Amino acid sequence: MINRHGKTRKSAGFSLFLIGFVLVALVVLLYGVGSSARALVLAQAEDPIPIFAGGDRDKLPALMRGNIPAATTSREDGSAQRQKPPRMCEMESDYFEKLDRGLNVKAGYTLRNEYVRKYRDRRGFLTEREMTAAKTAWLYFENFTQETTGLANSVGNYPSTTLWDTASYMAGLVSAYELCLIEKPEFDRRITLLLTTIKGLELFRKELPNKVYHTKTGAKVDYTNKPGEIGFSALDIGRFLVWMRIIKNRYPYLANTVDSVLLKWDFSNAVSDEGLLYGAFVDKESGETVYSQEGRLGYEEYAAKGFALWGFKTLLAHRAEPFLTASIFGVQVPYDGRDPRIFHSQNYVVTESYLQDGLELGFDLPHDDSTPEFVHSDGWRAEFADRIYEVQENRWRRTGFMTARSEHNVKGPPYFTYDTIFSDGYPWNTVTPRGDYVPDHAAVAAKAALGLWALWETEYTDVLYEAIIELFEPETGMFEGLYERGQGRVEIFTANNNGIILTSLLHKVQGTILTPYTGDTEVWYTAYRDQDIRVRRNYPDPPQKDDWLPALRHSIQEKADF
Amino acid sequence: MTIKHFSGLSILSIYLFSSSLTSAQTDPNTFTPDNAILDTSISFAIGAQEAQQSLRSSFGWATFQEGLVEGVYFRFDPDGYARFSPSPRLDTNVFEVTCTPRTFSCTGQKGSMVLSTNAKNKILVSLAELQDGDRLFVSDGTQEIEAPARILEPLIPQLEALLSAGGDLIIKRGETVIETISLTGFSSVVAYLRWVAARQDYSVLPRDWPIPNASPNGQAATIASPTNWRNQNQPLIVVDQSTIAPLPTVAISKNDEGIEKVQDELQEIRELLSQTSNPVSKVDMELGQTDNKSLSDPAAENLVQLSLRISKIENTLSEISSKFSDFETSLSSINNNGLNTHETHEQKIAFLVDAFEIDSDTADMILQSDGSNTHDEAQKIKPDPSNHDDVLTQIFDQLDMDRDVDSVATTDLQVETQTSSNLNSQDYQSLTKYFASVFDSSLSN
Repeated sequence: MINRHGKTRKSAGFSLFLIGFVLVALVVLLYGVGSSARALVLAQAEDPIPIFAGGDRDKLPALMRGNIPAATTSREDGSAQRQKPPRMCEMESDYFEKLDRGLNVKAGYTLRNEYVRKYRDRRGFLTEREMTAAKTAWLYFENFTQETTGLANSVGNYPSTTLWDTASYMAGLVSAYELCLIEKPEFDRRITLLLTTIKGLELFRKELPNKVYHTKTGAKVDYTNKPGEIGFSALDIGRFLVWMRIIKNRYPYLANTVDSVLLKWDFSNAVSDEGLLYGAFVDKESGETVYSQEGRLGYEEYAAKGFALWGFKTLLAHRAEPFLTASIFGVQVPYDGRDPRIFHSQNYVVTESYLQDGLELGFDLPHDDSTPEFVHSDGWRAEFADRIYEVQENRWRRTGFMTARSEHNVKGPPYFTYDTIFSDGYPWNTVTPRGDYVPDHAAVAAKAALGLWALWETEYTDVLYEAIIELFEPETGMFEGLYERGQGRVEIFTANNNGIILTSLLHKVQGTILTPYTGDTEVWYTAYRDQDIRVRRNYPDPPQKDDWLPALRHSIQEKADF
Repeated sequence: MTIKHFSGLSILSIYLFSSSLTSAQTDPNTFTPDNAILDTSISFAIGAQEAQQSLRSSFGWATFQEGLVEGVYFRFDPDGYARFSPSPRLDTNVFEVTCTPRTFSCTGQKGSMVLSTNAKNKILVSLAELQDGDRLFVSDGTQEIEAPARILEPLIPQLEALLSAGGDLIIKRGETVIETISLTGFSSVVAYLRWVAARQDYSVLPRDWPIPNASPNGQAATIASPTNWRNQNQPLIVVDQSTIAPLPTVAISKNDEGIEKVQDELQEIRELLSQTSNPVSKVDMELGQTDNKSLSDPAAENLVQLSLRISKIENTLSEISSKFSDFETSLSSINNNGLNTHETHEQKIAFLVDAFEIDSDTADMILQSDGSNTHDEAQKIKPDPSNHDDVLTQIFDQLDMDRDVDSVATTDLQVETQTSSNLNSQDYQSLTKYFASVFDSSLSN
């Protein structure tokens, strides 16, 4: 068709043809691209990237094989891991001048529920008097360690011990080595003999160590030191686990030995699914094993952290609840809220468990290996410990009674007393294991006094120090304490007292006793992966961030409560 | 060094070692499992129960027993260490009992008062604070009576009953009170000391003691044995206030009751004798096979013993009856002669209280019942101390003569006696002792 301008005009058919041509061209192009892409993908599949077992591309969780390290704060957030301090004799003279003690840091909870105390612990080299006390305390273990087994007697020459007191011996041994009272050959000889003996101990019904063992023979015995079995104590095992972790972390060359000891034990009945600790005893009538929840506020959390250091999930045991407070000299003293009349377990409030948490664990959570010493990641434990200290200082200031209360042995019946800050509804209650009120046995416990002195640098602990630091028999060890009512010294020598005293002195030099684990994979987590033993014995996997015990806070007492 | 020297040194070293070992084992400050003498699962009284010790250390007693008896709480360990207190915390007014290691010999202590048992299971009271010239009083809170010095000798049942009644024991030096010791828990501690000495045998406990109906270790089966029956009766006279007169003069005023008690026991033993001699008796059938065996085995021996006991008790019964009448006669004589009408009524009471250790009410009752009681002050004289001795001597002579006569009459029962020609002044004894000895000798065999 020709229009009026003389030019030809395209028809509609031509337009349709053009559109169709373009579409065909597009289809051909897409087909070509797709084919090329397919060819390219297929070409790549013929050359796969290999996935190495345990490597990053491993689809199976490495956790299940236990060959990944436990998650810690330094691994998770990249912060600097704390370092193991040198032995005292290897420290530079200006070592303590370089220490950051956080003296200008405001006390209180942080946003992450860490707690900064208003007190600081004592740090520095040991003085001559302190060295004398340390040497004397170590003499106890030189005098009362059995050559045959390497076990140390709990009390003087009475040949029996518990895991709790064995942990105290390990504390004494580590302290003696780090304070340069003994050298490595002696340390190695003692610790190797001890761990070998413990590995060979006959367990309570093939589960966990019996409550008491004869130190000369290593045989399991009852409370009268006669062959027999009592049961096991979750608290004793918890403390023992703390010191096994301390030794493993400080001395990696002992790690395999340490792991092999624990890999003989069956934890299936010691930690419940909800994270409570269970002890065991023998029913007198039926002879069957009875498992019962063990631990009250103070000791329970300390033991829970001992288990958690080895990957056990002790969630409920670590919680303070249920707890109540009793107002004593203006301080709200926390105590366990489980009624002894119902649960048949006493809720003694003593200093010891808080001291051990502070000295050995720094009031930190088990996964914390990086926060500064003055920041306590297990915040409420540090805050509660301050109350335990303050109520004792207040008693001294208001009544004149020097006070450092703990459970302690006594000479003669009843042989042992719970010298408490609070128990059974009474403040300053001193009771025997069967419940008699025996105020005459109230004493300034040497271990409590030195522990308070180490963790609270105050005028009051200076007084305690003066009362205790020379309270020893030069050839035997440190006495258990000083009677409050003026009957003189508690003339008995125990592993626990001397062990804690040595720990307190070591803490002055080195700070928190537990040092970070510097390795990666642990035999404790990888062993028996080809068998069902780990499941049957309830061995844990390496704890990851989701498994961490939570950092909690409780309301702070703002002012004195009378 | 020669072999001889070496041997000597060896012996010396062995001796030193053994002696140190012995001292360690017997050191009361050292825990020794061999010191366990009690089974804490055997209840001391109804309601008491065994409990677990809350032990954190490596040694100690795994169990203890606690309970409440006669108004006092108690706890004891396997080594016998016990505390008795009216407070459940066992913290105030505490009787503390400790036992000599590896023995059943225990002592109870409160303040300066120490209680212990002698070989005859009599209670001994010692007072550390006591000096010559000090006097002892027993107070019930409102009034106090002076206790005789013989309270420091092995306790006669009457004095034991007096102290068991509670109150306070007061030591006075002149008018100054040296010490006041609460007697709360005295009876419980006494029962405990005897129970421990008898190796937890219920038969030594007082008759009204709340003994559990059943006990572990099969003791319930053996408690019905004749031997235990016999033993069970023994302390009833010794400590049970309800069955004995607290003081001799009270016994006089209630002599019928005392005789009835003896007669009851006599009847009881007769029944037992007849049951024992009859193998198919009703009791045997009720006791069942176990008890049947325990009854029949010692039957022959028991038969002889029971016969002797019956004879002795019958004899004692007649003795007591005659003594009561003679004693009443003596009292009348005293009132008519020694005290006469020159004494005031109060002085007579005082004399009776001093001389016979009776309480003032009883003395008053005796004087009134005698009919010679008069309040005529004009006829009364102050008693002469020497006159007391004469009167006492007169009474003792009379009693001893009577006893000799009775003793001669019972020689066919093989009761040990003395003739009057063998008597001397050292053989004299007080009436109280005499009655105690009569009861003991007749009932303990």
